[in-house]
Amino acid sequence: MADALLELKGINFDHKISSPQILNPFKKLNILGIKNITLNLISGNIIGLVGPNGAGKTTLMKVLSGLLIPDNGDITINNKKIENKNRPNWTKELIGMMPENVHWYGPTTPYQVIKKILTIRDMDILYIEKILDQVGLTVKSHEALDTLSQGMHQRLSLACALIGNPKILLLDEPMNGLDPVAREAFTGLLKNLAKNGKAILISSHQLAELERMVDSVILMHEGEIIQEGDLSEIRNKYGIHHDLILKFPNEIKNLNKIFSKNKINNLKFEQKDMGDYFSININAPKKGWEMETKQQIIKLFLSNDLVPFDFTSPQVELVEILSAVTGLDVDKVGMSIQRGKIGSEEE
Amino acid sequence: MNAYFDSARLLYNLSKMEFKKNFFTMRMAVLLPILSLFIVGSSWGFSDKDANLPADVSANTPFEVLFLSSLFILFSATLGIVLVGFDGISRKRNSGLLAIEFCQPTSRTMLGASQLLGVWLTVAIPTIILSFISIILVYKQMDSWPSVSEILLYFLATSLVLFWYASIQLLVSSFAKDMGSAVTLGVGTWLLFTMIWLLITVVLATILGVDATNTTDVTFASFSSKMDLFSPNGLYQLLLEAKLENNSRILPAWQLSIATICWTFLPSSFFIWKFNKLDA
Repeated sequence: MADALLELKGINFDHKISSPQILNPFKKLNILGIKNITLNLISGNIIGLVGPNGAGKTTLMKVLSGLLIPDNGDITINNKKIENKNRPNWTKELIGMMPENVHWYGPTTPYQVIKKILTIRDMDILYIEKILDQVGLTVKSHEALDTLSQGMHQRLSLACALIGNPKILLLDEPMNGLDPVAREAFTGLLKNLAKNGKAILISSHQLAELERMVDSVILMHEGEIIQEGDLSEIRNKYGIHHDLILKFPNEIKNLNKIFSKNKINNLKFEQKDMGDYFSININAPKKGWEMETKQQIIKLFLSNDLVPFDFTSPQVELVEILSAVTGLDVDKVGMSIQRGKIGSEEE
Repeated sequence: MNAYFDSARLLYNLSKMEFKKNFFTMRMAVLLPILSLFIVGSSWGFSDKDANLPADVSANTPFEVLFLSSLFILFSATLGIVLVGFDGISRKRNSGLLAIEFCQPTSRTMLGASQLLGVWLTVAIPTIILSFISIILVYKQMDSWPSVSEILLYFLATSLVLFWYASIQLLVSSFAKDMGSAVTLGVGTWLLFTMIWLLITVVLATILGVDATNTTDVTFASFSSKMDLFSPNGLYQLLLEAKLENNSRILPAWQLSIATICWTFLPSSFFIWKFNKLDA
């Protein structure tokens, strides 16, 4: 296994929120940000950071990028332990951060933005065209930021993260505002970057869009990592699988007979009249779907001259996984906002 | 030595970029005519021999004219610094651009210093150029130049007061959480030193038993000059008054020097400290 480029061990961070009072105008409250975070970022891996709003994804990203200094815990970059009090420049050179929802404004152009970041990094401005080309912004490079779409703004944020060819990319909700074509291009770009050895941590609250591109996921809830690993492993572990749905133009009269004749007769199924068509919902096995089982089902219908016009298995939603992992009701998972340990005070 | 040179070069490049970004904006398009009218116009008017000035206002020498026009600099150029700098930090922070800058491998001190120099130069350069034009106009009207030391003091004091305001504006901007509080804090500090300071001086004088009803009184003049050490506008006036011939508000040079050093380094250092602590 490749060495971790960046390791976090037991990282905690509380937000210090101003809560002025008449007799104590400097009163601050500690609100839980992230708690006991341990993770490794490995070269060539794309890791999805998934969780509902307020789970601590952005806080974790900011701690990783050095924007926030953790209260305690160890950070190791390239096998060198980093002091919490500051983040040396050489560590920042390894990390490219794309913050969430950057509001690019004004008459400045993408070209000037990249030029400024290059100047801040004391790098040669010859790289501007190359960086803009990498994210597909060359055509818009001299147009005012005010006139660019949200998707273009996202590309510009990504371009800023790519400056300096960092080994670790931290992308906070990068798909926001991207159209499907841009998403596809973005996914391809990230896969390519990972192939070239970059470790990528990408956060999102939409599981489906991450599923196609990540090697593993980290599930966060209430500031903690509650599960990590391959998404299919997590699904199997908690038995979170969706039905297989086959759609037919006409009703299948001898469905019980067809299923009972085969080895897959232990699967539960149900035929529904949907008005224009009939759907057969086949419940997922406890261990999830295996490729062979699905093949058997298709073969079974085809051998009986029954050809479905559609064959789907809906995506598992984040909320379902969170519900399974936390043991909370689906309705309560998204609304559970008791994460702030409000009350611990700091002057 | 190379490291210092590299840092100075980086600071120069970043400040230049900030200056350009600030200078070519709508705000400056509004400000430049105001600066021109106030600075050049006041010098032209005060140096006109036919001008009817109040009895207690003396504009007999070129430097006295410059001193009077410095009041217009205090009003217009410091307001310019407020216009350019009041949201210098808060807007960047709210838009997320500050986070991107903070992620770069350059120290926050360097970024903060370049921001400060950028805001300062945006107003200081046109102000100094316009002041130079004023001096030429004064010569045209009075057929006499201010001395070199007077010109240098005038330029230095003007540059310093703008630097103090730039530091104060960026400092309060780094405390502001939104546009509303940025405007309130920015304009509020400007109003405090430009409009309200005299009121504070009079109230304090009354409380301490100094006769504030007669502003030409020597005791009050002494008291107000000491109070002015705590105001950038007041200190600017005191620095220029040091070269006036009929000056009743003379303070020891060491007091002026300490106040100048404090105003130059304390707000700017506090801003850099705050900038280093900012959550982006």
